[in-house]
Amino acid sequence: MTAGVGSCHDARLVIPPSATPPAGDSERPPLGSWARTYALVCACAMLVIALLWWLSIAFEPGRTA
Amino acid sequence: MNWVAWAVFAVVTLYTIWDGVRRTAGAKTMDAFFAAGRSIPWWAAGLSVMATQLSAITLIGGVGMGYENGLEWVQFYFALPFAMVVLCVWFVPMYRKSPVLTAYEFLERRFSPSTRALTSLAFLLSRCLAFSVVLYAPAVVFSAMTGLDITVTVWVTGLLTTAYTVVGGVGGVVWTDVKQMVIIVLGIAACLCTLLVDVAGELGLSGALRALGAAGKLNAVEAHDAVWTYAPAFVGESAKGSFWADKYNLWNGLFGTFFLFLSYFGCDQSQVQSILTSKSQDASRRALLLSAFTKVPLQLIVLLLGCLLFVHRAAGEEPLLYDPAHEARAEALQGPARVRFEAARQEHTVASAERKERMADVAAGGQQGENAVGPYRAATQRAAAARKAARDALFDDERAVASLRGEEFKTPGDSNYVFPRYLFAEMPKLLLGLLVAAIFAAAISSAAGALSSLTAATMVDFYRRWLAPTASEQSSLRMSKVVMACWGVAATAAAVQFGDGPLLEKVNEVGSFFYGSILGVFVLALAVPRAGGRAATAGLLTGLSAIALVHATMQFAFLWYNLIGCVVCVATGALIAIVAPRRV
Repeated sequence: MTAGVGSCHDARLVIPPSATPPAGDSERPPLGSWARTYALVCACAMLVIALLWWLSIAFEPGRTA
Repeated sequence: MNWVAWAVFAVVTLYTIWDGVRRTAGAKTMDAFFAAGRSIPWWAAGLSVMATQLSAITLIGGVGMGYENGLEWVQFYFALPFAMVVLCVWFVPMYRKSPVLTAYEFLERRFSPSTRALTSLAFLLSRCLAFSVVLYAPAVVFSAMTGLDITVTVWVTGLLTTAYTVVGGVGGVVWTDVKQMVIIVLGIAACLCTLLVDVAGELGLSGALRALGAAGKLNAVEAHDAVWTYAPAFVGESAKGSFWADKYNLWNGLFGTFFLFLSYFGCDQSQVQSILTSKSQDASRRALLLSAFTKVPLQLIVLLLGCLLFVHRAAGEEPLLYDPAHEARAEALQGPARVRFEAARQEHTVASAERKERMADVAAGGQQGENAVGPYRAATQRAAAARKAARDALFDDERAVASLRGEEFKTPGDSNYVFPRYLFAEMPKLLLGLLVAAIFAAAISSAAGALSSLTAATMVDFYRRWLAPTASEQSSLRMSKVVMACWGVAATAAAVQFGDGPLLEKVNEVGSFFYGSILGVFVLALAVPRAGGRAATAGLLTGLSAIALVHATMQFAFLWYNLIGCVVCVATGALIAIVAPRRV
């Protein structure tokens, strides 16, 4: 297998791949769809930030975050 | 360390490395060496991403930061889950669609060879410096453990890492990372349990929370501060109270680090190689999301260790100095510096006793606890100020020399020694061996990831692209191992040059000079179809110049550099794309 060869002035150069193409996907996404998985990640992150915000305020006398 | 701790450390470390390397030793192609033949399952790639990022710096420095400043540093990680989602949606398909070995190879397909060369060069510069810092942190522990000079321990760590990475390639690094991550989690859990038992016996858990809250250590979210001013401060002006110069708060934690993490996980070869080694596109996504779910809790626990250590020290005896080198200096002090040092020692003794007494009241709660909060905070601040004054007294000569040169001298901190000192003084020997192995594992996993990515970028983006495009697989592979060895030795030598300091910030500051602009190039590739090679190259150079200009003239917290670099790069590239769109 050979790496890309060509002039550095030609921006449209077609370069041969330096590696074999990856295998396709066969597994089912978590929670049935990737959109639902991403929504869960964002929701969990926001929940953790909210909980830490509460912790910041709850145990420090006289503080509002 | 006695022989039990040494034995545990040696067995755990050697088994981890041997088992990781034996799975992948003997790679015959560049694809096998740099992408493990795209055969790594998602959970292994995910653990490797975590291990590479959770370096010894994060462990040692993180506990030190928790001890000194509480939980505020956790805000740095708030944007990570959101960045991971963006990476899964846009970046993973981008990389998996074309079979590349480095992130920058993609840029040549999309833009031009010069864009690829420039971004790869920017990566090499930033990662080489970060690699050096990553090697220095564990040397602190091993220096304390063996009594050897830090220089010797840096060389041992650097050369061991280089040796196993050369033999195992990226696959060996990933499989070693998996075991190392398990050891790190076990080590952190063991330490957390030990400290919780200690603190529960001293104050009770709810009492400890009250004591930490009253000392301002539970500051996990800082969204507003009455002293903030929103006009940026220029160099030479006082940045006190400036919102833009504040190092860690909710806003730069969400917006500044969002761009940092996008760039770090999406454009930095040390992380992208984990995306490339996975079996499939979905496996790459799962690997990234594993980090999204676990990074914030893990970092929180590391900082919590520091907080619990603070309570443990405040309830018992807090050392005046943590760094053994500072203690040696203190013994040799004479004259006025000795007088000032002794005064600081006395003040620390008085303030610590007052803090201990008031902390017990605060922990007990009730009206008496409420009344004790003010005096407890004051005593805590006095004790911290006395520790600082004692360190200041140790560096009178250096301060005088700096003053003569018209420079400002910053007294070295000792927060990086807080955790090692606790481990060596109070941990059972069996656990000590495990914990030192965990810290060492964290160090070499991060260093190995950096080393393999440096070599991949050098070989794929420069050697095989420009110097020897017709080289055979075998000769390229041989050259890869030589280049890897050279990088290992060079970066280790550079690590020796770094002194002590706030290690955590050093790494991220160095990266933040480059990350935003490199990310900007990838954003141009994805979001501005009209942008060509000229637009991308101009965007990258303008972004880097903007950061240099901002750094030289204004006082911004380094996290904002990521946002500024990215925005300037994309804006410049988009403007050029409008004026002179690429030829298709």
